[in-house]
Amino acid sequence: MGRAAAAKRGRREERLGVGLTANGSTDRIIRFCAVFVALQVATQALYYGLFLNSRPFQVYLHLVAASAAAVLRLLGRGVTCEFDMLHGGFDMSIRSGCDGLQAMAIFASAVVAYPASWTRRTQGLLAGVASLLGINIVRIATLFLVGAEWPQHFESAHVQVWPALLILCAVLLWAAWASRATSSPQTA
Amino acid sequence: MGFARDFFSSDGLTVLPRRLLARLIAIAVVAFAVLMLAGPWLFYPPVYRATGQTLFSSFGGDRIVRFEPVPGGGGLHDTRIEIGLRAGGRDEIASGMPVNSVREGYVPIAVVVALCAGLFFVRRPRLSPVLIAIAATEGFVILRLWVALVYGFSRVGVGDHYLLELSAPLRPVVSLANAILGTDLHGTYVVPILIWAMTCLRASNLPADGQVDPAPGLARSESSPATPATETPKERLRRV
Repeated sequence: MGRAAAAKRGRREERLGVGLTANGSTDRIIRFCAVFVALQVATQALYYGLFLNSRPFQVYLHLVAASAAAVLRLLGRGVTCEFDMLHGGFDMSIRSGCDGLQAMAIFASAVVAYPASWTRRTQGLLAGVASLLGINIVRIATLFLVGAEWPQHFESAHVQVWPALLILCAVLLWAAWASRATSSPQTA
Repeated sequence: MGFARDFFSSDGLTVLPRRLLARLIAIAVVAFAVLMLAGPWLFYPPVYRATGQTLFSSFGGDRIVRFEPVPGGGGLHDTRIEIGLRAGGRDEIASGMPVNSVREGYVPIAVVVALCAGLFFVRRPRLSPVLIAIAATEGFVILRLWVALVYGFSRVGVGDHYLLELSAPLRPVVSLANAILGTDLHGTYVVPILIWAMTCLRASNLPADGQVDPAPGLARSESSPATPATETPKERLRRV
């Protein structure tokens, strides 16, 4: 962003009396958080209101289950996939909340809210969402292995460990992207 | 390269160099793991139940709320929140919701404490934003519990009435709020991170160079050079 545009935005914010820190600089963190929260509310409303019981969601769950089954077969497990169920010594169903979509929404909201060029944002969204998709398939495969081999640890791995890891992955991916976007000459 | 190489810069969002950010995340992850390995399921559920009982024992009118331990414990759910009505001097429980109190209450606090610990080791924040962050996270825990109770009362009926009658436009709002705040696991982690970012990470809440020594073990040169006497606040922010 050019100096003139930045100065103009600063003057506008000063006139509106918003977005200023105690030392007079624009408080971008507050703005980032506000945009992030707005996008999160919108994506969550779409997820729970429209997407959750839709046909595309069922297809998506099947694709995730089939991908996880393929990974497990590569590891030598005799796993079959039936719609959103994995069978083979342990039965596991993939449901809402286990789909990885919310981690992707968190990442996407953070990328869109961050002050970078749209080119950088698009690149970040494609790479980050693809990465999180892959991480979620690894998550499901490892949960299946834990359930089959150490069933007493399944709930803690499912409810405590992997949600934290998935969010950590989303935050790290965003930090890595934002770091590149900030140091790039394309930065807005 | 200067500030352009810094992850936290005035042209970006934040105020720490990339290397310090990596250290912050690493320390926060270790601190969170330590807090989770401390065995919160042993000591936290009674605290959660006592706090909930104190705050929500009466939910307006004759509505009552009870926080009871799950018999046997040790499973996914350690607490059962029972809702009902007080009628004729007797408590009639209409329904109950199983809750994992560690996930609902302890984990958000652990996340924000771990992030504050990480920040303390890379760049000492002021104490007041840290306390505000912890208090705000407690507020989030109470808010999600309140939303879950409103949702529960609005879904359970006695005869042809719900225990809590909501207007038609409010019902989907409460349902969505409960799905986002109560059901969804990710809010447990994301909301504390946001609260921490908005309180502790704001540039104005981090001491400028020269005001406070860097955290123990950090070389001064790693943080930044000395502040020139003529530097403006904006230039200082850029350089931090």
